[in-house]
Parts: sequence; structure tokens; C-alpha cells
Amino acid sequence: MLNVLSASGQTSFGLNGMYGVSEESFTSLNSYEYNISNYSVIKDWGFSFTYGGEFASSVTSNLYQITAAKTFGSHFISFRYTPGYQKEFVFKSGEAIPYNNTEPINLESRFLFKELFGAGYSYRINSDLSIGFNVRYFKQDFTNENVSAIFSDTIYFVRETEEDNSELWKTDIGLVWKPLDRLVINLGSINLLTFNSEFTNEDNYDFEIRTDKALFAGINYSPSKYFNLHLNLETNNSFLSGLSYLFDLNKNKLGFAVSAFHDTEQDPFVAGIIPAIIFTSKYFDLSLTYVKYFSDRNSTGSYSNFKTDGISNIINNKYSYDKLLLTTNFKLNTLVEQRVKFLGVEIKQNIYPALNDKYIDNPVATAKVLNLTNEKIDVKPFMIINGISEDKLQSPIVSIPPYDTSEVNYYAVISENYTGVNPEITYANFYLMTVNDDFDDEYQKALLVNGINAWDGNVNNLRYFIQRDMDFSVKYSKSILAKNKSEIDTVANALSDFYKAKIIFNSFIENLTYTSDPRASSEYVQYPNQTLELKGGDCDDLSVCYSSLLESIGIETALVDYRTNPILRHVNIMFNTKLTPNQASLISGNDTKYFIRKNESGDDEVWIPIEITSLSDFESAWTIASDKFQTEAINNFGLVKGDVQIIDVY
Amino acid sequence: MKKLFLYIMLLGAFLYYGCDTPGPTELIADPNESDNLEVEIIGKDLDNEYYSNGFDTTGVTDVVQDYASIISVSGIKLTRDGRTDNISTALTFLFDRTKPFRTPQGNIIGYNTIVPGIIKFNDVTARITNYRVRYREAGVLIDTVLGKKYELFNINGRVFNDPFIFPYNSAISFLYNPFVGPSSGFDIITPKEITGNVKLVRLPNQNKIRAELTWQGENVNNFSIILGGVRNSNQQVFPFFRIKTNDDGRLVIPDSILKNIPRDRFNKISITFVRKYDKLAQIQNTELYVSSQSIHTIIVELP
Repeated sequence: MLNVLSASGQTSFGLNGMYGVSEESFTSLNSYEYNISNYSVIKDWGFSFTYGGEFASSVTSNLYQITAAKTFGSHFISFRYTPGYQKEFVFKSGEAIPYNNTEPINLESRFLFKELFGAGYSYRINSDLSIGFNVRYFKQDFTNENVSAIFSDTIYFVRETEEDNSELWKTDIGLVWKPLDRLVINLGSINLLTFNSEFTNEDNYDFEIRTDKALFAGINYSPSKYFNLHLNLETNNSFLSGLSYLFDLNKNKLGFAVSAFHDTEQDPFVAGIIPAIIFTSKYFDLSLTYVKYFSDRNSTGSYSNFKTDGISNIINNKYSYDKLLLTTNFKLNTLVEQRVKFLGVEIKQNIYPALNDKYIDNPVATAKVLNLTNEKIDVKPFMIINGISEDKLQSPIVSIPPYDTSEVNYYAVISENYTGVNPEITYANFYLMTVNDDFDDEYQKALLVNGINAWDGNVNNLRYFIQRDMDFSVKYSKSILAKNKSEIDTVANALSDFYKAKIIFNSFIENLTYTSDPRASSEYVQYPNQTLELKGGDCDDLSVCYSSLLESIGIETALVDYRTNPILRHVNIMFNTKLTPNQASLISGNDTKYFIRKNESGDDEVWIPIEITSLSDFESAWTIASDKFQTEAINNFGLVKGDVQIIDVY
Repeated sequence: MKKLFLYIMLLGAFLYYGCDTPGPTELIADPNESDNLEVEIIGKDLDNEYYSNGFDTTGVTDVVQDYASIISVSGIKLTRDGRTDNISTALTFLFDRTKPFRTPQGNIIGYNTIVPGIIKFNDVTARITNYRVRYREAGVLIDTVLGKKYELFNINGRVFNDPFIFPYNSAISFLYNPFVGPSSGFDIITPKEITGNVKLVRLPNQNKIRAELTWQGENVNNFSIILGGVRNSNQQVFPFFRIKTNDDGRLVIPDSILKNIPRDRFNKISITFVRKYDKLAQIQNTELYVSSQSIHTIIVELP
């Protein structure tokens, strides 16, 4: 239980100009006095120096503090050396000893209080809450001159100097909480734990630095981006309050701060003010601070008051002098400064390696990305799919406005060399890159990569199976045509494609049988060489194979997707005879056996459907397919209603 | 590397030459600050002898040669061995300044005295007794009588002593009736009774002692405390120091003053609180130093 007393003076007094703990309060780096939890916005390394002058009877200058600080992820540590945090009192005791008509001996006592160093640690629990503590080391060196009576034949005095000292450790804890974007609350203890070695001379107990316990509460509110109001309260009725304002100066900021403070041990009620001029940039800050006390600070004080009240703060007490201080902070960032970050990644589709270039247009994943900076940023998205791509796959650059979020799409190209047969759960690593050499953020998510024969059931995508391994189809088709060269040579040129298709059909169909998918799945599609090697397949496989053979010799093909029955869908093909409607009678007098389609030039051409699964001769396959097409696509308005779709392979 | 070394050297020079010791604050003792000590060595030579002439219990013989004549009235308390005696004295020394008495070394230690008439304190006629001094010559103690003095003495109100009781915080009438000429006199104001308390404190964990003295402070200007030792040999008080301090009720005599008192020669210390009114008066063109004292002497054993 904290025993809160109200005896001690103000202890939460910092020497620098800005006294609130906020994002812009760079001086909190070195001020354990009011930044009890050691809160910091330093991203990596921070160094701070304060050099200043004190206006006593003469001006003295000193290095007040050197601070080094480092952030490790959510952890932040700092170490402070404070050679200038010292205060000395001299008491000339007036003890006069007449001795053999010599001048009286004036004895002197010196009370030197020093804060030598301190260390702080804080842990950022989340962006709104940080907790921490600091440990500070003090030394109290007291020197008392006294006379010692010597009794020999005569009595005389000798002057003796008695040195006595005490070490003091103080530990306090605190937290910084941001309930709102513009509101920061800072809580801490004062003198929570103190450990000290005792003075040898108990007379010195009276002069020890006071360590009464108290609580500290700081409130910082920013009505606008660069305007900050702050109020630091202590339960001993001391407080410090003020404001700061920063102006944009190119990419830097220039501003001022002023604080006024009330200390229960000092007069008048507002004991002094601390105006400051501040310059802050990306890599360093400067502040020029003046500590002005309103009461007359002459160089003398009452011994009895000092003995009764002591001091509770080395750098701010009723004996402190005005000070002018220059503080420099260096912010060295050896880490990549994160400019954007992932808010989440959604996998849009699993990978079918056969559909290799499908992912160039259709994103594999979409990420939600936040711009952490106050400027527009171009983000380069990269992705690596383990097992699929060794190299980083870059997607189009996306621009994100300041502090805004945007969706970033990740596209992929699947290598034609991918040979994985079985589906596999793998991981995709997503990266965001901006101006840095390294990634700003990284995200990993599981992804299903199907086998090379897997098909997503979309007939549109069967063309990927048709187009693959075209070299094989060319060889196969040409070898058939070569065997039937004499027959082809006798055919009229206009009927060349028709007869080539017929010859190839009748040739390759001889050795085939209809088989369902080996995994009893409609989403397994064989490549043409597999179909011919296995000597069979289902409608998809056979259609793909025949289409590939025709395409390999320049005959246009299209897939006909019958989707009237959603459970039992069917695919066959049609090909372009290149005959004009007027020439259609050369192949059939029945106009239901062919269909007229416009080519890219707008000219009508005769297409005929083929049902490969009939596994009969060309004429039968043609007839069966024509009947089915006439019935479902024409008579039942399948083409109009979308129950039947014609999908060009190219 | 050379640049780095230069920077380090410059930084080091800056830190060394650019840093002063901060200006100290000088603490000033308040006028009534009790811890202000003025210590005067009284008995510089431990072998000096001070004749206990009843002047007071301090062991101190005032430097009589500084005055033409002396009138001294004292209310004295002497505390030792758990008992306190109340003593009243009234003394008058009328010196013949033409007849100084010198030691073999030539130091004046007194004057011959004269008895030119009758002296009364509060209508009590003072007795005329020998005025003795003691000094050391060639290692031999010598007592000698320098003349007569006027004296009244009473201890604990005993009837066989002089019927004179020192009235504290009041006045004593002094009357001088010369054998030739008219009588003259005046009142001697007396200070408040002083009751001191001495506490010898051994400091914890330290081989140190200190004497904490307390009394009822009256802020009388002429206030002093005399620290002395009680000789083992003759139990007489030998004064070491006169400590001039404020009559504010508290004083600590530090260990540094007490620690070296030779125990083989002094097994007790005496602490005498002296509150004094003094003035100069004129009687028949003769200047008199008039001293009115309230004294409390406490004798304690050294731990």
C-alpha cells in the first residue's frame, strides 16, 4: 500500500521545455522525473545531451545529462548519466575558537547531493498502453569540519574533517495510456521503493534528501495535431501545467512550449515558468529552455530551514537558481522504418497450376494495407508461394494516401514446369515494399495448391489443358495427316480443314475408351498426351485432347458447355470448317448439323459440333453432337438462357 | 579513424573544460541558532591551579585584574551523586591597583585588597575573610593571602551559615558604608533560576559520546556553559572550555570536544550553566564590576 504523504516538494520536474508525454514530446527520452514509465516513441536508437548554465552569483555551466536509449520491438530501455544533477550547500558554522590570540577558526560543513545515473525500462503492451519503471542512483556526500580537543600538557584544538556519505536508490513504476488519439494519461509513483545506506554520523540524518512517497498523474491533450496541453499533478499538491505548439517548417517542425509550476515548498504560488523554443526534425531535435523562478534566488539560505525541511529534488528546490539549457536529441534509425503494414490478407482462390496465366488477371489474394505515414506512398506488393515460385512475384504498384488503408492485390504466374500431381497445403508469403531496401511488412497465410491435373470445374479453364504441351499435339496430328496425305490431297481446298478434322478424329478415336476420372472427380483433367497414353478419358479429357489436336494444325475449336443439368454437366467441342454458309452443302444438306458463327472480321463461317465420347466414327460423333446442340442450344434456347455456352479455346 | 579520434578528443575536452561545479548555496545560521558554538579554552595548562575560593562552582576564577573592584552575587546549585546543594554567595573584592601580585614569571594574578568600610547585601553584613590565591612555583604549589574580601555564604539555608539566600529573578540591595564618608548603594538585579539537565548519549554503532544539554531558555544575552573535568586527585573542578551560546534551552556538545578528555586524570566532567547579569557601577569614584549570576553545575561520570 502506498503511503501517500504530502511533505515533500515537487519531484516530477524535468529540466526540458516540453513536459507532457506525447508523440511529439521528444524530451521524455531523458526525463525520468515526469516520464516515470520510461515511455518513448524512439524507433531504434536515441541519444540525448543537455548542456546548460546556472545563474547563481556567478554563471556556471555543466553537462546536465547524457542519455542513450534503444528500442527492441516492444521493449525500450534507456540509461542516463547526469553529472549536472547536483546541488551543494555550504554552512559556515560560526564556531569561533580563540586560540593563542589567533583568528577564530570558522568551521565549514558541505552538503553535496548528486544524482549520478539512472536506467529505465518500458514495455509497450499495445499501441495504447505502455508500462515501465525507472531506477535512479543518488549520492549524498557530506563534509563536516569540526574541532577536536586535545588534552596534553595544554589543551588545544585541531581541525578535523569528517566525511560521511550515503547512497540512495529509488525505483518507481508508471504507465502511459492513450484512451483517445489525442489524449494521453500518464500515471506513476514517486519514491515507491527507496534503498539507502545510512550515514555514519546520525547528525547527518537531518539533511538527507527527502523521499516521501506520493503519486503522479499527467494528462496530455492535443486539440489539434501540433498543439498540446499538459497538466502534471502530484498528490503532494504540487503541479506543473503548460502548453506547446509546433509549426511545420518544410519537413521539420519549429515551436514553443511554456510551463508553469507550483511547488508546495516554494514561493510564490506559481514558483516559476519554463519557456522553451523547440526544433524537431527526422533525425534530431533541439530545445532551448529557460527555467525562471519568480522568487529572489540569492546565494544564501537559512541553515535551520534547510535542516528542518531539507530538499526532495536536486534540480528543483527552493534553493535552485535560474537555468538556461540546450538539449539535443539524436534519433538514429538503423532499422527499416515501417511505412506501411498489413491489416489482413484474404486468400481469394486456391491455386490450380494448370491454369497458369489465369492468376495474372485474377488475384490470388487481396491484402488490406495501412499507410503509417503522413505522405502518399507507392507500395510494391511481392509474393512467394512456397513450392510454386522460387522468385518473388511482383504485383502492380498501389498508391495509398496518408494514414489511409487500401486493398492490394497479389497476382501470380504459375510456372509451366510445375509437375506436382497431388494437392498440397503450402504457405504464401506476402510482402510490402516501399522506399526501403527491405520489406516494410510481411504476412504469411496458408494456401491450397492443387495437382497439375486439377481443374476448377469452369469449362472456360479447360483451354489451359488444351494449350499445354502443344508440341506433342502438333507431332501427333501431323503424323496422322502424313499417313493420310494422299486422301487429303484429293480434297478440295475449301474442305481441307473438315477432312483433316475427320481424319484425325477417326484415327485417334480408334484406340480410345471412355473412362471416368481416376479419382471419381469431375475436377481431374488429363492433358492430351496423357489421354492418348492412357487410351481413354471422360468427356473433358476427350474434348481437350481432340481440341488440342485440331488447334495444333490450325483448326479453330470451341468448347460447348452443357449446363442444363447442373449435377451432370457435359462438354464437347465444335470446330471451324472455314466453309462459308454457301459452301455448307458440301459437307451436309441438313442445316441442323452445322452452325454459322461470325469470325473476327464479321464473316460467317460454318462450325460443326463433335461428340467425342461417342467413340464412334466421325459421322456419328457429328450427328450426336448436332442433335444435342440443336435440341439444347437452339430448340430449348440454351444459348439464350445460358444453359449452353460456347467457349473459344483461343 | 583520425576524424573519430579527433571528435572524441574534442568531446572529452568539452566535457572537461566546459563543466563547472554548480554554484553552492551558502547557509546562514539564524541569530537564535543553538548549534552555533563559540568555544573558548579556559584552562590551557592542565597543571594550572585554580583556587576554589567560593566565587562560584565553575572552577573559574575571573580575570580579576581587568577590574578595579568586583561585586559578585551568585545563586548556585551543585548537582552531584544524585544530590543538589543550593548555595548563595555574595562577594566583594576591593583592589588596591597600585599593588599587583605577580607570579615568578611576571604574570599578574591579582592585587592586594583593602577593606575601607562595611558592606551589606540585603542588610546582611558581609564577613571579612582572607583573599587567597594559589600558584605554582618551581613545581611547588604555593598558597598566599593577598588581603581581605567581603563574603556571605550559605548552603541549603543552614542557620549556622550567613543568613543570606540568593533571591532569583529579583534584586539584592548593596550597601557600602565607608569608615569615612557617607554610605552609598544600589540594587543588583538577579537572573531567573537556571536548572540544567545533562544527558550523555553514546551514539549507536559508533564509539562516540555527546552531551545533550537542556535548560529553560530565557534568552539572556550573557549566557555560557563551562565544561570542566573533575580531577581524580582532589575532586576539584578544572575548567576546560567556556562555550558561549544562546540562552535558548538546548546545546549539544559533540564527541570531538569530549572524546579526548584524559580519563586517567579526570573521571568526571562538570557542566556549569551560567546565566549572568553584569554591569559597571560607581561608588565614590571607584568603578565596580557587578556580576549577578544564576549557576547550575552538574557533575557526571564519563561513561
